[in-house]
Amino acid sequence: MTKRILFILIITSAALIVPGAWADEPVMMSPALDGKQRDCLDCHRYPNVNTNEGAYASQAFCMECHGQKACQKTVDGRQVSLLVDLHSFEKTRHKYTACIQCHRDVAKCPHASGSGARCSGCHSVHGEKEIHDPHLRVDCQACHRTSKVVSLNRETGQITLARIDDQKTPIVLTDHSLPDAADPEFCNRCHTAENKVGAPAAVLPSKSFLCILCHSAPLTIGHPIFWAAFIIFLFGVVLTLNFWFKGSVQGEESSLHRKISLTSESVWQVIFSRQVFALIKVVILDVFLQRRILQESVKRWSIHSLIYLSILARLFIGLLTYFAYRIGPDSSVALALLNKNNGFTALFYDLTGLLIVLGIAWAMIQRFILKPVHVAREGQDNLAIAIIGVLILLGFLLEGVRILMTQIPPSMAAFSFIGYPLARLMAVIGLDWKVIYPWLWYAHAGVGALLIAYLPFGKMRHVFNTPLTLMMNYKMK
Amino acid sequence: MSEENSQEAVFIRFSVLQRFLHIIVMVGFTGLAVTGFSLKFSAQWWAGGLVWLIGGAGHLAYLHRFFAVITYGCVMVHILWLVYYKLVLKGSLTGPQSLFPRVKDIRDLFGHMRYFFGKGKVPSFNRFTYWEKFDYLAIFLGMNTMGFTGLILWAPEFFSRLIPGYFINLAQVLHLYEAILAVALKFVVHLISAHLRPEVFPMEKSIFTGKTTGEKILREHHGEWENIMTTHEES
Amino acid sequence: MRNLLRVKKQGFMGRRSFAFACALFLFIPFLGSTPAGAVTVEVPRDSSGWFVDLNRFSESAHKNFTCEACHGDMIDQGKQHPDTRDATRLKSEATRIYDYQRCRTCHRESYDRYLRGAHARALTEEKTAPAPERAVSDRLKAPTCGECHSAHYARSHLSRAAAGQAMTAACGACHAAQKATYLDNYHGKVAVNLADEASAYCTDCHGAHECISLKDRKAAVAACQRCHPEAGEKFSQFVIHPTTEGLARDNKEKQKHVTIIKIVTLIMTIMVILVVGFFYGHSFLWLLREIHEKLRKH
Repeated sequence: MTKRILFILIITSAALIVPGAWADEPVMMSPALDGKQRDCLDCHRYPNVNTNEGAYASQAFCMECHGQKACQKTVDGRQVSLLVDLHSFEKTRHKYTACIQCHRDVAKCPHASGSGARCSGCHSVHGEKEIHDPHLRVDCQACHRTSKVVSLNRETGQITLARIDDQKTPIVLTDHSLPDAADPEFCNRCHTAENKVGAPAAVLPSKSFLCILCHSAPLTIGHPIFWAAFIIFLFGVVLTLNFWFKGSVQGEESSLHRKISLTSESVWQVIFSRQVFALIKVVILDVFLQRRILQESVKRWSIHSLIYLSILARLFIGLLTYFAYRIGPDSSVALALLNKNNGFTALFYDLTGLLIVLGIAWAMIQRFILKPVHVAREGQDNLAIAIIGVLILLGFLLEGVRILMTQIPPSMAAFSFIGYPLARLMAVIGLDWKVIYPWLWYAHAGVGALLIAYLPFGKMRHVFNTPLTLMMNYKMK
Repeated sequence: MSEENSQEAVFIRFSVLQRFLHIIVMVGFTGLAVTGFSLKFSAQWWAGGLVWLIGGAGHLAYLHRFFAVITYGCVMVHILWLVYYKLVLKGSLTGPQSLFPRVKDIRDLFGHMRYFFGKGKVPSFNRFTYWEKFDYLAIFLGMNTMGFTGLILWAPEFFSRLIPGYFINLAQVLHLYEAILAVALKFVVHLISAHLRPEVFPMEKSIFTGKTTGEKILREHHGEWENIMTTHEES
Repeated sequence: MRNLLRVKKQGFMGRRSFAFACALFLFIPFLGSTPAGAVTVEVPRDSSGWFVDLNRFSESAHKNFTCEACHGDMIDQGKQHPDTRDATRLKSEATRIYDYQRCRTCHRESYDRYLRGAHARALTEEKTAPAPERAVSDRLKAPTCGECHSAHYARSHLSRAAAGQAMTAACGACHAAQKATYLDNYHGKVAVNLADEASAYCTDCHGAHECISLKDRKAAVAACQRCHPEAGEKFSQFVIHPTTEGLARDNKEKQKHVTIIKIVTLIMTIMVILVVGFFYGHSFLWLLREIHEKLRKH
């Protein structure tokens, strides 16, 4: 530490002594030092910035110019300071980092950066928990800088820190203190009513783990409506289990403890025996492939599979995304799956959503128009179908609004083959979608919460009952 | 011979020549597909790996052409056999029990699809069902297309004396898309119809054993069974 | 003896650890991502950066040169380096202001061939055009030696395949459509992907440093005949770069051929999608119905 201060002191004092056109002629910029001709490689050797020595040397090189008050650029006739205040830089987290580790492509002529400062390589992208949804199109700097002005690049769809403000004044961006951005105040740069970057007008909560049925989601419950749904769901599960264990196992009035022991004992014995293969066969053929419905009718199998297999596929991809992000947050697999605008991800979710809607529609035709004899139309059935149908439709609406509001370029958005046409239709209706979006989001989340809460009470309970029954009766033909 | 007895009787469906040609075509087609797509997708790791294994792009080309020669050899043998069948054995190349497409095949297609939707029974197929005829004719056409375009790509200097140079590009396009079509159909449709269908699972063996039973003919090619019964009665 | 048998039975790995080892392979795709905390800084690939990576320079062709041999000493025309009064030098591109006559000292043939070629003509056009029209139409800037070659890091004695792969990347940086079509063509696939030296790389047809256009039929046939001695005039009509972008924009005959190829490709695509789609649907429905019938029989 002392060595570092000494080094800086020598530089700055030498800078004060040597005359030149600038008030402070940098000493490293002089071809001669101590009367000896300097070697090119004294300055132009690439420093090993992975070492402390290399980082200091690299910082000193840049600070030769950027430590001077005279270091400025002219933008539209105005002078913008490029001075980096070393004292404040020393207080930041990156004080041991070389300038070129972040500003990777500036050490050349022309001395301009094409790519700005790069945070990836050391820092991973945020997942859905921290920032409520991966902000993959937002530059790190747009949140993690003290400057509050952001702008949208219309060609790439990226949201970056702006270099000029609303009054066309260039902004000085040399402050290197990078705030934590966990405060909602940082979210308000974009998530306000009059924002120009197409963000929703409110800071929305993160998805709940309950959403994993159809989406990738973090491992938290989240917003109070999800807590309410989860508690009601748990209550329903407890009620169900209580009902199941009201019966007797061997005709006696056993205690609950004895019933649970007997049940778990028989389960254990099946799983850790040869029988487990028969059990697995039942799981694959009956639980996943729904063989027994196919035995009844191809039509019924088709309707049910359109809904069920699509949801199962979405659950699988959601779990895959979760684990991919946990294992490799910067891996291309995780980033592709988290990015709603990625070709595969967009296509997959739109396709499965469409299949669910088709299944629901076909089911409704069966129930209300064709009315075959074997269909018992009970209110609970219709409610289950209605909830799922409304959920998916709201989801598509949300997607359309999102694509329109965030101005995703058509080449990217085309993979959302339902969301994008919806967005085009919505564009014709001139509503302020940034304000509507949060309401739609809460509607969708509410219906989703309702689905989870209602699950143990209505016909949707078959989601648990049926696989359990099938597995328990694995020997049944 | 009563109908019940002859249902257990064994019928020879495919001659030894046909069984042999099928094996050669199986091997040749697979070899062609593997070597061909290793060139098309040579930027992928698996293609590069395979080429490394066999010792370079030159060997890849050689193997592809080798498989092409033996596969097309089968086509030529088959054509010669057709000539033999017509001229020496006095067989019919266009009758109802032949591979020649007929109006009944369209009717069979619609009837069969009605059966898929639960609205009818399986049609009474003759010796060759409509999908078997499609398979045969598609392959016949396909192999000749692939052979001809492949020949153009094998000797482009010679062919460019007869046709404009950009026809070689067209030959390449046809060769690629016909290959995609053939592989997509063979490795899914043929797989389902000859292996995965519950009726034949795990495998329809008659192409290798050459034999089938009267009961099977009755079930799967009802029209042909009736034809056999009537010709037996006549004889 | 008995001990040996016992050891053999156990194997060196139990079933569970074997399964675990297999599961570890599932993580291979994620190995490409950087673990948090690792500071990896890439060395700049651009040779005209301010810093020279001496690890790579010491393996390059120019490793025995001193800096002064190519860059002169620190005092040049009365000005000292770096001239802090000259802010415009900071903004100009290094590869365009360097004096490449110094390269000619050793690379005389290449330099003179370059001067005869299309890149040099484009460069002269660019430099002599009046300032507003400096970017001629929307063509790219003409390359100097430094645009294609890295004097600091270029290695010598590359194999034909390695040189070919490098030049595909270098030429393809500006001629992207040509690079893409080349890699889609037999020549590119075999030469670059499969590293077969018998195939053709960019300079095999377009000349080393001369960068000739093969629009002229005679030049095209001569290029083909280098490897295909029996090639006739119509053979050169074979389109290696079926694109209408970049340099192919003014070639009417080629555009006609490319359109025909595109139409045939479209027809074939549609046909394949229709046939495959129909038969996939047919097979799937058939399978469902047959499974249903079989299940009902039991």
